[in-house]
Amino acid sequence: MIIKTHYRIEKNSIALVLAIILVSGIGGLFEIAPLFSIDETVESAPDMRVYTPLELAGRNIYMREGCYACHSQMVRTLKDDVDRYGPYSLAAESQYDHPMLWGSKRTGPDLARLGEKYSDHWHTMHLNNPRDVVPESIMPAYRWLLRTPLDTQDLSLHLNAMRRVGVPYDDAMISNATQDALAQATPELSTSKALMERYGEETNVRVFDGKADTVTEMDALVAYLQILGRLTALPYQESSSTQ
Amino acid sequence: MSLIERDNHSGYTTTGHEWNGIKELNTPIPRIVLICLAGTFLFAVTYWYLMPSWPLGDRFYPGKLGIDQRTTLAEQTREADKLKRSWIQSVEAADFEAIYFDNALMAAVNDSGARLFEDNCSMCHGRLGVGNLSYPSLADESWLWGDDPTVIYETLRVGINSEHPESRNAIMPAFGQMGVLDAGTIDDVVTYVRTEARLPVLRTRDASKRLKAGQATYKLACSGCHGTDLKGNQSIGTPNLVDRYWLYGSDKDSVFESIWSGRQGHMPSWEARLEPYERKLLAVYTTTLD
Repeated sequence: MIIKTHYRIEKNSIALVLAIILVSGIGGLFEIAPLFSIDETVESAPDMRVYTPLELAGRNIYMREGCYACHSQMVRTLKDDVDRYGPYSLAAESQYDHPMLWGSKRTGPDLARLGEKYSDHWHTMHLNNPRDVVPESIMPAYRWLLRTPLDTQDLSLHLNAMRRVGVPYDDAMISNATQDALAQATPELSTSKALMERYGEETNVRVFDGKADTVTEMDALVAYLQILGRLTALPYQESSSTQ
Repeated sequence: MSLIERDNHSGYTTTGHEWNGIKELNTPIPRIVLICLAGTFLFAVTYWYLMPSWPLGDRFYPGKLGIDQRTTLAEQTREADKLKRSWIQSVEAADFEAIYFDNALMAAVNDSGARLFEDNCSMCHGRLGVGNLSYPSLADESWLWGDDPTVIYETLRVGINSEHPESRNAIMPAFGQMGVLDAGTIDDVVTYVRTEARLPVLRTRDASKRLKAGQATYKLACSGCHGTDLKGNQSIGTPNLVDRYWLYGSDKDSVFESIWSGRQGHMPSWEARLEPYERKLLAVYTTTLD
């Protein structure tokens, strides 16, 4: 019977067009409809903070170097994942991630809970040449990070772009982006106080790469890695309430 | 063209199209394909019915089985906790001495402790705990803060030079960079320390004079922390300079660099990441490494 109907529809172009629209419409509906209610499905995290300009620059380097190809940033709701990495990831945690970097493959470990797990010095050594600290590692060496000064001039534009897609950066954050990026990796600068005022007391202000005189791409990437999983305390509260 | 034509050889009708005398048979779709198609449809409908599937505005259809990964996870965690509870409690209750003499608990140390060590500690201290340049070995007899498991347990809790409010602090000042000592004076101290540590030192003509100068500077600037006998002080985490272990390298340049730029090793605090019993297992585990 179905075959017969199909046979008839195939011979009538208008009917065929309508049938195609109907079928692809169903698919479209189920892809698009959840987006209308996305605000209700994402948990509310009042303590959520935004990426500082330096961390955002680090995030851009993370994307540029393709870290996401081997590292996921998503602790799944599976026992083994939670045992190894910590509380599972929540939607709220990546609400300011444009694009998200959940990843789909783990050649290396998941990084969603990496922040402050290891020291800055370890990260610097490890990114410079992973074999220096983990002899059995197969991760590539990213030696140029330590010798490439960070381009901070266009950070205002990056922040502005993020604001356009909904990240709550204010005008002061955008206009001071370059200054804030330099201040975060140079603690002795007087401007680091203003940075703390804008982004909160919890902001890490340190010499991330061990070289106090220049702000390198290593500074930015390590600053970003050290904040992973630490933008909000919500996942830790959620997991203790369900257990 | 609209005439139905039957192929004499196969018995099927043709589609009625012809390309230079070549005609296409109108054979039906194989039955097995239709069965599979129907099967997948059936599976999809059953799955939609049983599992969370359809979006309903601000909610979603939870499925007849009511399966939720988060509750599944919570249940699994509860189950695992129940299984572990007995030995976790005995680890928590036992003092370190008792753990060493309890075979069952030592089995937990060797099993779970090793797993925890590999996941959390081996990145810096190495899989076998032998350390690395600037990351101390846990497998030798030299310990910065002492080899007592109680001390190690506390270090795991607060870290060293970490963000923890009660962090242990051990900072070697940058004597050169801060302008306290000049390069020549530091050279003398390097000569003195390396001589005392029985490392080969270049015998220049003014060697004995430099040695004396180095010793005098050492007494003034270094002995407060590293001790007059150069053996360090475990209560403040200063390393012994005359054992054969060198965290930052024993060559002349490395020792000079240590004095010139200072050293501030960083051990993260594990209080937020690891449970007290896990830290206890790790404290015991590290003492068993060799």
